[in-house]
Amino acid sequence: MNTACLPPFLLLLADWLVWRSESAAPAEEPDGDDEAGWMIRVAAGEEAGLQHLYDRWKRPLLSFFYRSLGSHADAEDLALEVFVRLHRSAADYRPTAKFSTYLFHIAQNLLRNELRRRRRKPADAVPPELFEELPQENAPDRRLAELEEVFQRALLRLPEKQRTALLLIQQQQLDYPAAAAALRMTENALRVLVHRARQMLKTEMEAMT
Amino acid sequence: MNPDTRSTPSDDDLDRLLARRYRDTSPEFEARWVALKRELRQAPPVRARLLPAWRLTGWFGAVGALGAAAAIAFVMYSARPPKPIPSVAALSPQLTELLAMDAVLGRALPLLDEENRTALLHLPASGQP
Repeated sequence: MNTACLPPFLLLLADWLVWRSESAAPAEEPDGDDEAGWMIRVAAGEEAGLQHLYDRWKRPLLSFFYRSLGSHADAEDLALEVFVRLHRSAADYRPTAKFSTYLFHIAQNLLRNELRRRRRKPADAVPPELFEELPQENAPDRRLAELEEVFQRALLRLPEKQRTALLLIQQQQLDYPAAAAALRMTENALRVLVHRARQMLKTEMEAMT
Repeated sequence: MNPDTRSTPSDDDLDRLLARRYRDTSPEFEARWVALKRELRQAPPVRARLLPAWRLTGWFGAVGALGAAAAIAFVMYSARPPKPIPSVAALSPQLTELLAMDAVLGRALPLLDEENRTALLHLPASGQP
């Protein structure tokens, strides 16, 4: 229905009814993947909701921020800030996209603020043993540990947009539609960006080794 | 540095490095989370607004536009030149004559005082010479 031709008071009434129905809906029991359900719980003031989101997303966020900033301390600060933002915005949250898209959109905004606030300061190195490899956890590879420092330095030399795209796709394993939505770009543009980022990362690493 | 690392990183190396994540969090981080959670508990999430922000903006915009349109209409109306009084020539000859008589007689002073004038006006017609 075209709502543009409705009188304004009807639109206002419709808005109010929608708001009433949304706010009056009981918090459903969320299943394992239903982060939107957990957000409803957070909005209702249930601490368990926020704790669930924290338990599930703290490590992905820490990894994302560490790789983006090269600082363990800053990564912790920003990861906690994401949960503060989630808590604040829970009542307004509408599950129109994947939760990961929403979450990493917040994360990206915080990251940009942080990068704007300070010019990159020297990274405090994280011992490689704090990291785990998701695909091949048992690969006994000293080479990888030795490449870690070069990799992190090279990653920090990438433009922020390329680095974030690469991390969302390869580290966070978001699918392309979700990552593209978080970055507010088309899927095709994202594919090109990721491809270029990988090439540039390799070039930087080669130059450093 | 190990001479092996001087070689070009392979795609596989890159994939594995990119996929690395934190295995666990530090106890200090967990302690900060507990403290933060306590703070958040004291400041419950704000209630959802009556309307989403984008909708509110639309409403404010519409009300503002209406107000501006009303103000413009008022200014244009009040700046309009006053409507001219119809000229005498536009009236009928009888009305013109009546208006002329009114203009002359309106200024005339009565010759008698009011009491005598009333008595004179009410004299019976038969009493006339």
